[in-house]
Amino acid sequence: MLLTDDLVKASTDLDLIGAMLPQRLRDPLLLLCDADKADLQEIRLRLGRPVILGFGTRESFLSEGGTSMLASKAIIFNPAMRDQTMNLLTEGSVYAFEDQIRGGYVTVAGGHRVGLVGRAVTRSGRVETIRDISGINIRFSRDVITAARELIPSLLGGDYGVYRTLIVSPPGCGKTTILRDLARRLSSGIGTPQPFKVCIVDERSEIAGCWNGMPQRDVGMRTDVLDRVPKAEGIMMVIRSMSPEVIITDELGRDEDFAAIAECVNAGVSVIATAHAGNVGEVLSRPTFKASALRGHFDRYVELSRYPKIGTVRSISSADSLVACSGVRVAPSLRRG
Amino acid sequence: MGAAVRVVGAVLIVVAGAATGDVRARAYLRRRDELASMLSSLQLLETQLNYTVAPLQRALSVISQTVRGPVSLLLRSVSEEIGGRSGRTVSEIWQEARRIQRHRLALKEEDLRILDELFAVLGTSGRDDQLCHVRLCRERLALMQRDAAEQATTYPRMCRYLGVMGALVIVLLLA
Repeated sequence: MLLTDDLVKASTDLDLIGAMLPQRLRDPLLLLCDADKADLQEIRLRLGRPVILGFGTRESFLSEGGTSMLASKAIIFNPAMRDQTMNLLTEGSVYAFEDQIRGGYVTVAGGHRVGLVGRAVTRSGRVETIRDISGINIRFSRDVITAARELIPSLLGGDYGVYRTLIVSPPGCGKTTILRDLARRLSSGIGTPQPFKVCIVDERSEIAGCWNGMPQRDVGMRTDVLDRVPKAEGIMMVIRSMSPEVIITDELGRDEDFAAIAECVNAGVSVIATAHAGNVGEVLSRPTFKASALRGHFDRYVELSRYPKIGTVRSISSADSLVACSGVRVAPSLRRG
Repeated sequence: MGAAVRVVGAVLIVVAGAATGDVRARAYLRRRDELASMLSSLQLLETQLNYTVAPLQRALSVISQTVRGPVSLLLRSVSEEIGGRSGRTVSEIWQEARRIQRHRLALKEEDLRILDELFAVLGTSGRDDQLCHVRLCRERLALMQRDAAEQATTYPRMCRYLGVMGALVIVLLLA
């Protein structure tokens, strides 16, 4: 049973995205039934191939009559559609999105994110832009206001009120959605003893979905968003300037990210971050994460799964138990939380 | 009575001839001014692309407030339509705005064709590429504007003379 508000929001999102697609794709999308509209999570456009709609754990082809399970009835995404889609996605201003395109994505109105692949043009080993776009992945960004409800009691505690936490899962398991809801709950004091000052360092405009400087998602009343800044630099900036109690950021991976996390630890600021990996064991097998675990940067490790539904918490481990299980010994003086 | 009617008729013919000549003369002057406005607009667009990297909708909106006349109306309608999220591309929006505003414009088809070529690619590529297109368009329009400025110094007077003289010839032939 769909809530009316959810359905209205899903329809609005679809209208917004529909206006960014060529008419041949827009019209069938508007024929989707209410349940599909609410479930639609991504639209995959691959040059010369059928348009695929992703509804969480199931998929369907986009056909003239709406959806179809038959590839033969699917609408094929052609170069003219690609050019038109890029024009509409960027509001006829590809040049204004160059920085984002270089990073392989564009954030559009409503905070929805569009991933791009194609032929990368490099100069001195760095990606300058992406030309001849061959694949477009439109991912719907939605508030799931219950996403972190079950998780939040397990993350409260420690020296600073909120455990430093690393959320781990493969792509598409709801990490960002949970981060967003955590920010909302912590900063608004929902399910917490007191509200916290939260800073989101949103390198790819994915958590808050900022568009024209305004968060398009509900990230809470005491949340500041530093948008489109490299994580490491952003973390240092908010520590210096915004006196945060909790810093939330996405997709750790580079060496400098861990240096910034170390700064958080030393500055007495909690951090909640995410990482791509199949499970916590895989994360700890990566040298940078292992070193981070050894230094006691995180108190809690949360594993997410997409089964039985996206955002399912598979496990919550304390750093001590996890490190003991993985055979890594942490110096007692470095243990925190 | 008959003579009075003939005099009135002759006066009407001369006034109509003068008015026709004046309309033609004004068209030359308006084309010159509209080309100058369009050149200023393109100069501003170049600045918007280069320094503020403003999206096209905002850039055209700012420019339309800076220039005057039919060019302002044309650019404003394009800007509003882009902001309206109608699902049409910039090129389609331009073609529609150009069609609707055509009767207000003194620009010739050859001037508008240069702009058609620009709007067909406007916003579809990176900044450097866009700047090249805008500069090329500006250079081509500048040639048109030089031509229009020359015509505007000689043709309007000629049109006005021809209008009056033509009317007088008709009056004499009818007398």
